[in-house]
Amino acid sequence: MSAYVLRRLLQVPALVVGAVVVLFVLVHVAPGDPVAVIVGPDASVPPEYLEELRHRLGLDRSLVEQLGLYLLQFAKGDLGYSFYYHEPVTELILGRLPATILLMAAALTSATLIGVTLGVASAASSGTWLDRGANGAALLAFSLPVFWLGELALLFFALWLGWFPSQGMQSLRGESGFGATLDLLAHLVLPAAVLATRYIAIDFRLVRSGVLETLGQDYIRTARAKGLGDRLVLFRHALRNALLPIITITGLNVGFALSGAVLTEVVFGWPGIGRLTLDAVGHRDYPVLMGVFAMVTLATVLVNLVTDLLYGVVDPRVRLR
Amino acid sequence: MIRSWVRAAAALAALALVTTVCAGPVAAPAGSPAASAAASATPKKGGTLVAVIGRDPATGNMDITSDTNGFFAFTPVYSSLVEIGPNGQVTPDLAKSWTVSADGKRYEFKLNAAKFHDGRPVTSADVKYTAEEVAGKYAPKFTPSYKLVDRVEAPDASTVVFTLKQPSATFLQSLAHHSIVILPQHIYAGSDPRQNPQNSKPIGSGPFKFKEWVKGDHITLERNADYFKPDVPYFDQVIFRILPDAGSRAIAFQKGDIDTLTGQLVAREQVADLKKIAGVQVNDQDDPPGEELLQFNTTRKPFNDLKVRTAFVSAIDRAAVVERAFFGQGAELPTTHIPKQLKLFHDTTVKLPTRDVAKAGSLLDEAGYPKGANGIRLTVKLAYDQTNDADKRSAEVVRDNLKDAAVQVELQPLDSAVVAKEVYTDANFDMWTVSVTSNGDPELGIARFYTTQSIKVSFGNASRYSNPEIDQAFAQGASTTDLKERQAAYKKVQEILARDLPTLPLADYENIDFARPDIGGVTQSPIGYPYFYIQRLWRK
Repeated sequence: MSAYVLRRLLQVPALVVGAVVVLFVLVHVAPGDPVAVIVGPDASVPPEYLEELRHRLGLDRSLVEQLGLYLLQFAKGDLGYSFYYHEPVTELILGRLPATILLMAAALTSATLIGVTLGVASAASSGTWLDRGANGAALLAFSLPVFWLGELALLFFALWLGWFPSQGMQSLRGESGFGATLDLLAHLVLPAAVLATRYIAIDFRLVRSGVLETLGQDYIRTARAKGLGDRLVLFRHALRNALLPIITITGLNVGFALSGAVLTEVVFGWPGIGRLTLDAVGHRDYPVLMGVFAMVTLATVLVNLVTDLLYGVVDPRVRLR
Repeated sequence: MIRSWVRAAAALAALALVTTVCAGPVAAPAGSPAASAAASATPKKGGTLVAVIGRDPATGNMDITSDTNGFFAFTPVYSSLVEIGPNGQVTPDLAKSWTVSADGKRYEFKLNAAKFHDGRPVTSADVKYTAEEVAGKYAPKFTPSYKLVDRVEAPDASTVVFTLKQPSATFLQSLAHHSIVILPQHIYAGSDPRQNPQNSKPIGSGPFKFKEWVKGDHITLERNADYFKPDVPYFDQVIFRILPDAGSRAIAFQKGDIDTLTGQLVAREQVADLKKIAGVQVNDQDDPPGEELLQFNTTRKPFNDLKVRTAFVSAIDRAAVVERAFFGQGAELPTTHIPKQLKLFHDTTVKLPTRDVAKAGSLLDEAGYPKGANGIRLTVKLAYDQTNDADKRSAEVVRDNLKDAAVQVELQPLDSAVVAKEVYTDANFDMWTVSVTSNGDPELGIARFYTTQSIKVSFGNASRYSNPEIDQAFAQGASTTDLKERQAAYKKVQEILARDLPTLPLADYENIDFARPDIGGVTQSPIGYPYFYIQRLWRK
């Protein structure tokens, strides 16, 4: 097992560097000029100024040269400076990361809990109106565009009912202590709920079909014949087997969510990585884009390593080689 | 066993859902009539104003960028020599008075006794430094004016003199906030002003001091207790929320989470709904008008042919643009190339061709574009900035209109970051729709589309139209302060442009600003970008 882990860990740098190289080329080859963005529209600046800015940002060098310089920096852990904000990229990302992690954790945790519960309940009462209704709802939840759902939630819960604040992570009235935590939670509910919707649907469907399939197996009949109650059968046997795909899918979802629930963050004004990335794309802020991509790649690779290991723990049939 | 508790939970959930759905929308919170009636007319001090911008500014130094969001958020931190009042008149700010020599070339300003936010006094040396080393080199709106300056002198600490190479109608206006703000020399001298770390924590001498900038979330300013003007500002604190989505901004405003919303951040289709808020204050009168401009690329076929341009102009229904692209809100049908709202210079005798599809057809026949076997005369591309809704909708209207004249139009949405190169540097387009501001004066905002020297300039003469008569007329309008002479020059400009049609103004529009009912003192600058005079706002 530890040989497996070691081998997987050794693959990580290669994977990340490979991704970084591909992304670097893609980002630099795409049309759009960061210098034009920095100077802004309505600009009647002399061309010498533009050239000088281009030189200072290293954009007048060849692509290969720029890539080489970037990789050297990257190896030292230096992600460079943002073209647009004139701040170290590492600081920018670390500054926004907690907000995204909070949103992601809230959304994925609640999605897993709710999705699994509903999936089990639905499988247990398969064929009834509850099951059919839940299936339909899941299909709807999966199909609704996040952006639209977000705006609807804002309109409904923030504006009409006034239950929740409409934007941002905290109100600006300077609450402290427990009040601040409550305030944060109040701001978190809507964006987390909107983000979770799709994941609830996915987890629900996976668990439901996993449990149903398991419940049809011979050993379940044996267990019932032995006299085991419904609850024990369901939770100790069926659910445990149905959880396997959930582990995998959660690992993948972390990668998606970490790259920033961009649309959710935009609609709710949540100051996370997703918005940072979106702004960086519009600004052609190459260092920030590269920094975010590298971080997401690293996180995805590591999380998937963890899920593979977990799989080996949960399912004794799996021998990790 | 399982099923009973599952059913109970499901029933509860369903009940909750049904009650929420049936609750229906609660009326949006409104300023109560009683409170408004009791509101005093004298401004009250204190409290926090919450405003909004669309994205993080590029920098806090307004003299090195033309970024609009930075303009909204950081202008209150600085002073300029002069200010533009609500009626377009130039009023004192840092300069308490000024004299202009008889030949119109020498401007002498006497400064108020003001202090920067770090306590050091503002002197003429700061003005001289800012004009020569920062704004004169890097401020996109000031550099054209600075080209007219021969020298800047600071004979004593409270006097600064600008001597121009020639008289200018707009030099005084170009010394206001949208163009140049005064920086502290003791902080910036000896450094590269574009790299100075102070740019993220700006220091000025304005009514508000910079407090904090949480990237992606908000910018906070607090009142400058040592501001050199008496009484203002009234608010203790101003917070600019950063909200990238127009829909979310509108909802936040309706909910009362933000107090003011400038027109530039409002999508046109939301205007009607926002106007319905009880007691809301709407300002669409004092704005510098903007133009939705359709520019033809006159350097290549088919638009190098005047007949074709005239034909296209005859085929387009500009009233439809006003209706469909602007939803009839704050937009008017243009009759010349200078917007109606610039009353001093708009000429009512000049008229652009009205819609006549038959005439368009016959002109195109004459120009060598008869209908082909598939019923189409020619195909052209129409580019626009895909992030601008007004440009997109206007482009769609133009495309639909031209179909009636058997012209096929392919829409070309462009990303903002590529516009400068594709359209202005390389002229890689056929037609281009763009929303532009007039900056309140033909010299400041209209000349740039038609003069030879503005070719290749970003948001300038994309058509590459070059006509010495036009250049001369604009030069004349710029170099005299005599109103009659300026009007004669711009009348000539409008006559020539209505004939040559390098561009077609599709709509003259105004941005519509909103403020909550409980905000007092709502007035607005007419020059450049609309922004609220935050220093004069208070909460009723």
